[in-house]
Amino acid sequence: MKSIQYKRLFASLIIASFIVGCSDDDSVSYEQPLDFSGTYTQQDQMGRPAINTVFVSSANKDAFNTTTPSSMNASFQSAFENQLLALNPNYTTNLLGLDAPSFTGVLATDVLGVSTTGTTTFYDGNNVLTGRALADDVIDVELILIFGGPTNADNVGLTSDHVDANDKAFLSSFPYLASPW
Amino acid sequence: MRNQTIKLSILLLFIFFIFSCNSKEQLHITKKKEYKEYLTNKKNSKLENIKKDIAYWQKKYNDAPNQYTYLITLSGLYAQLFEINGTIKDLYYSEKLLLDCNNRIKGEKAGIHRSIAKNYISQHRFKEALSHLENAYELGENKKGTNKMLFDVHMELGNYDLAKDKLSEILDYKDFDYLIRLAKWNDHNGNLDKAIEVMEKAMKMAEASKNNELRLWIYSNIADFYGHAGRIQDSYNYYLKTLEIDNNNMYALKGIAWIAFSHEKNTKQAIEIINYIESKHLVPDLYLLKADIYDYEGDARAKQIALNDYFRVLSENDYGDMYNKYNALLFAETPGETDKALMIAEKEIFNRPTPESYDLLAWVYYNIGDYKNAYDVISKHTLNKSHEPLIIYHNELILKANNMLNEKNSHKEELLESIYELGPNLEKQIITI
Amino acid sequence: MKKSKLFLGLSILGLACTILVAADHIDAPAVQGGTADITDFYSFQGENTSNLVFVANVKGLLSPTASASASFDEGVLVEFNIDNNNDNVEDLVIQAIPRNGKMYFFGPVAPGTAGTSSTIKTNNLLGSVSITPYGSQAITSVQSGVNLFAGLRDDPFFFDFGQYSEIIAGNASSFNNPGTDTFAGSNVMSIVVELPKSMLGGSGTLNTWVETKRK
Repeated sequence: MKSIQYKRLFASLIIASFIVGCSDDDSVSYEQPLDFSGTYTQQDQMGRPAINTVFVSSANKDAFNTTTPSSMNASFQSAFENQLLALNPNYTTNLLGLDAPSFTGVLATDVLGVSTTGTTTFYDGNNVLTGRALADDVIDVELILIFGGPTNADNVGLTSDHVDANDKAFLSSFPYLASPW
Repeated sequence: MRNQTIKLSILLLFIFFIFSCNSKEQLHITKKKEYKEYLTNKKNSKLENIKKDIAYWQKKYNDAPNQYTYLITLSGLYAQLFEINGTIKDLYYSEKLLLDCNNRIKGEKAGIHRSIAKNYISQHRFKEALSHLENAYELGENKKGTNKMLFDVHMELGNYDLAKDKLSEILDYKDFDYLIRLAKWNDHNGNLDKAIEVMEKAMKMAEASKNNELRLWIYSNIADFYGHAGRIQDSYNYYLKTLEIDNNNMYALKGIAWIAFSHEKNTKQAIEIINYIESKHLVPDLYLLKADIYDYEGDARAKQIALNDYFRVLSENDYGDMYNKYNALLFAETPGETDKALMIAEKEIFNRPTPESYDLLAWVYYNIGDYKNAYDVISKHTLNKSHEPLIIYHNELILKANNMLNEKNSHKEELLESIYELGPNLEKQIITI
Repeated sequence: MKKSKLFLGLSILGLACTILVAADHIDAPAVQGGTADITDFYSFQGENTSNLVFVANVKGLLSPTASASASFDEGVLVEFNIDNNNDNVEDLVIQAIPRNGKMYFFGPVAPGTAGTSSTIKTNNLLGSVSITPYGSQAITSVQSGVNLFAGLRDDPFFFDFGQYSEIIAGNASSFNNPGTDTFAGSNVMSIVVELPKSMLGGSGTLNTWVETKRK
């Protein structure tokens, strides 16, 4: 019986279990074939941090979570712009020099750009949206771009949440995230 | 004369039928050695964890009272506490936390409205649950989730057409949440076989997901469905499966107590189980169950004590409308208390105009001898509109009192098949209808 | 105690059955969804600068107590999407799905079809790793430049979400200084995959995002 089931395993899985097995073998025995069949349907998605929370209205959340990024701009840019102006009615441009249509045009396509050739950071003063590192204070960056105006001098009470770092130090090596509490 | 003979032979046939039914199902189904480990004080790690978690989040909240999300987490924990202990004040506290959050964020979160609705469903405040679900629907976030709950509430309120609409809106045969609602719909329409078939599909899904909460839910509920269908052994097996996952699942223990009492007539065993539940999960209806068992034993004194306990626990806690139905039934059959029963029945009809609620009213009329009014109520609201055995039983008696019961409209056969569900005390009554 | 007398002869026929088997079933369980909610997504250069790291977190705000029983949902596929020609359509996906205590990774591979439906690319196994149990050292799988991890971690996100909500609701007009890290002291379920940039194509910049999909 066991051998029959073993044969039913995907060949690639068997091979993989030999390769990977050396580093983390806790002997999951293949008594039952693993079932990876079926179609999986989208529930949620995320590109840049907190964009969904800040810019997507309740009414749009279900649609936004299942709209492919290539269609997001057409579907949501104007809603994003309205939300931006609702949050900050005095918005003109921001530190990046983007007016409301341009800024929300960037944000509405919720993908995270990441550089494969250099520094990866959400924003470090020099690089903009070249990735997202664990220690990036992404919320302050977004608050500054939404509320801070062209020179980050506007709305001083709203441009930082004054939580500037994680409560636990990150690791310099894989898996990078700190151990759980 | 000839008529009499036919009636007698039908009666004999029925009796034969009962016996043949019983002999098909093993009489001895529960085995103490299989569940006795769940009757000893087991460490309830789930309960301990909830208490630890409450302390954890409460401290965080005390340190930073502007963090409303901690209150949402706390409200969920108190709701779980209620499910385990049966302590109603925990459910009310959970409600209070949710209402505070809702006010604080100006009612702008659909998820909070859904949580409040869930709380109100537990409290049998269905109209208020509906209003919060309507708010959630307007807000939009997770509309499918809102629609599922709207189905639940419309069913409770007797809005069957609206419930049907919601059911077709959430149609998805790959969705556990849809399947269990489809099962409920089929059960409501008296299609028990189909209901069980759908529940079994949902069960496979819960097992595949390895989600213990879902498995718990489906095992304990499918056990009830098997009970409905007279599949006592299957019912028992699934109560046991429930207990395997959650050693402290009082709902499943109550199910086993019922099998011991109703199917096996093992009153001693049933009482022993109930006494244990009482020490863990004190809810008033346990005492009604006890009273029923003592009634069967003919122990009037013990029955009286159980009923006193029932009313004592009710008076010590504010259960709102949660026990209306039981109280209406109790008072309906008690001379001198029927006015009270009438009032409660009318309140229930106002709260939820379902066949179940109208049955209470009809039953009060019947018991005060107002057979005509009783018939008016059932002919409008319950006859052929419900598959609940107790309602069918009441209808049968009301029709009989109005000299309108005949072979064509009698559901006696159906009732005889439901004796396990109705309990041994009703067996004699049904046979002699 | 007047009641003792009153209820002496009380008939309770049929009552027990309404309590038990016949009438209301237990309320339906909470509507599903929580296990597929993404709390965060990160994408950054690895310690080995030839590598890129992707992090997806699900199930936020787990207390230490709740962490002990937290698990990934076997019905939920986590899919990292990589667009390497700047049209915001995924050219490659990395799929992660748990089975029997292990997280299985597939890809990077072109998806069967782009968009909101996926099938698992079982012919493109990247590797697998045991899901680290709570309280254990991180179990990682390291093989030919690919590192894999799945399990509980401290939530790396920091944000005064409470005060932000107060501001949005109009109950406050500014942040506090210092603020409160809403996510301090809490854990998330993390999936971390690090792999050579050379497996991802493109010429300098990728567009990335993460999706959860349910069977």
